[in-house]
Amino acid sequence: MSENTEEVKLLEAQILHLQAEIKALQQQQQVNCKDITFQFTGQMQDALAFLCGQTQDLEEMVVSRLKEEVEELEEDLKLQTRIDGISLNSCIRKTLQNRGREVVQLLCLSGRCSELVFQVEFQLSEVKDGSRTERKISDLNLVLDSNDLQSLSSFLSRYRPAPINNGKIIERK
Amino acid sequence: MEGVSTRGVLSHLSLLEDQASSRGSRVLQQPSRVKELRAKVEALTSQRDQLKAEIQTHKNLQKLRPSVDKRRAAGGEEDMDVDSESSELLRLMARHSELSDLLHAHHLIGGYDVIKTRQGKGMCFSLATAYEGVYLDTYNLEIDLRPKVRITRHNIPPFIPLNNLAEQSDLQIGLRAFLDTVSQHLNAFAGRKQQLKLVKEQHKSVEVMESNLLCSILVLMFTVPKEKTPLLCTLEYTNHTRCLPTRVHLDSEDKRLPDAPQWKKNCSLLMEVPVHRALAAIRKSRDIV
Repeated sequence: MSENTEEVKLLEAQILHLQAEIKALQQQQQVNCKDITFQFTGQMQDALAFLCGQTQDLEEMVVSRLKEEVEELEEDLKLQTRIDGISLNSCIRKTLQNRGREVVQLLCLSGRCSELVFQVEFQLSEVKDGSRTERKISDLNLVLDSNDLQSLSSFLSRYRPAPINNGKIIERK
Repeated sequence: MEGVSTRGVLSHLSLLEDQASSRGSRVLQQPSRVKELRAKVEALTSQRDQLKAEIQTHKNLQKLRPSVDKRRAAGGEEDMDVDSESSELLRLMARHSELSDLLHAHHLIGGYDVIKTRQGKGMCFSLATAYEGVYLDTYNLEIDLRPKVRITRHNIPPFIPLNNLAEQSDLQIGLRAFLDTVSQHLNAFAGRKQQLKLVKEQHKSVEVMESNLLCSILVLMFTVPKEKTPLLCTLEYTNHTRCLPTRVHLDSEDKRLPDAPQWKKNCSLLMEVPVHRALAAIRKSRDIV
């Protein structure tokens, strides 16, 4: 009987230890999941499941299905680039805040439009209001390889707060 | 390290259980309790390993994607880390992520989200509108490419002259010019509509007497302080691609009022600055209540 009590005690201690480990890991995962870039659907979800040993699918199957989807996306991007007349090279997103109803991201884009090369950075806030989502842009920064920023100053000032003074709106240069 | 100790504990427990059962344990409760606990340990261990695998995968993916923090630390563009240990699957996932982000970026910068329809014979465009950094309504337009380029379905309001614009642009040559013009009209309309909404929200002392669906006419009633004289202000937006009025007209029983210098100034302001912001300035200078 003393051996059994010893076993039970040992097991119970082990269980507590595992539960604490799991809690810590879950907290870490919460942080990961708040990052929008890791919320996967479709083939990406399947691929993640495969990498975590959660599916019975063969690696070749998962790879080939994902490859197909990637090729579709490449085609979509080519078409979108043609339609918009803007070619984007890179898009980096960082989730600054994710409180369920409100998500704030930092976006850094670089690309080319006609002969003009540009980099633009801004904050995007999305607030769910019932079925609608309200999206706002703020803190816009633009890097242009051009001397002609004057024509853009009024556009830029719309996305940066401007002080009102004596009935006139002063644009920040 | 934990793996080894868990196996060590389990095998030790196994041994103890064998010894106990070979001695013919008289206490029937304990073995099933031990079994129950062992099952729980196994379940928790598998849950923990699962979580570790997911977190590690996220880490691996993160290594393959450029990130804001990495870029700022390195002070420049960085190539994706080509790790020889990264599987083809991880690389595909990283590329998938990158493409999705780029498409999303096109969407955010106000591109015309395009989807192919009818097995490539048609295209459906989404035109987003926004005003002062706030995204507003999105409109959709479906275009057939064969046999001729023509608009089939859309949800653009009838007071936007879509067919006229289509005729002016010659759809057969290219869609960009047409889409740009429609987008201009829609965004200007959205902007004027939003300004009207803000006037109603922010300036309750100003009465909206008249407005139309296209928001190209706005008639407001101001109250001048002191004598509480009513002042009627008509804003005409004849250029439908703009959010600012082309004409501002004042009417009052006091005929001298519209000619007063500060009201000439206020009219100029109303022509140069969106109405809700102009009204804020005018109220601040106490020209109206």
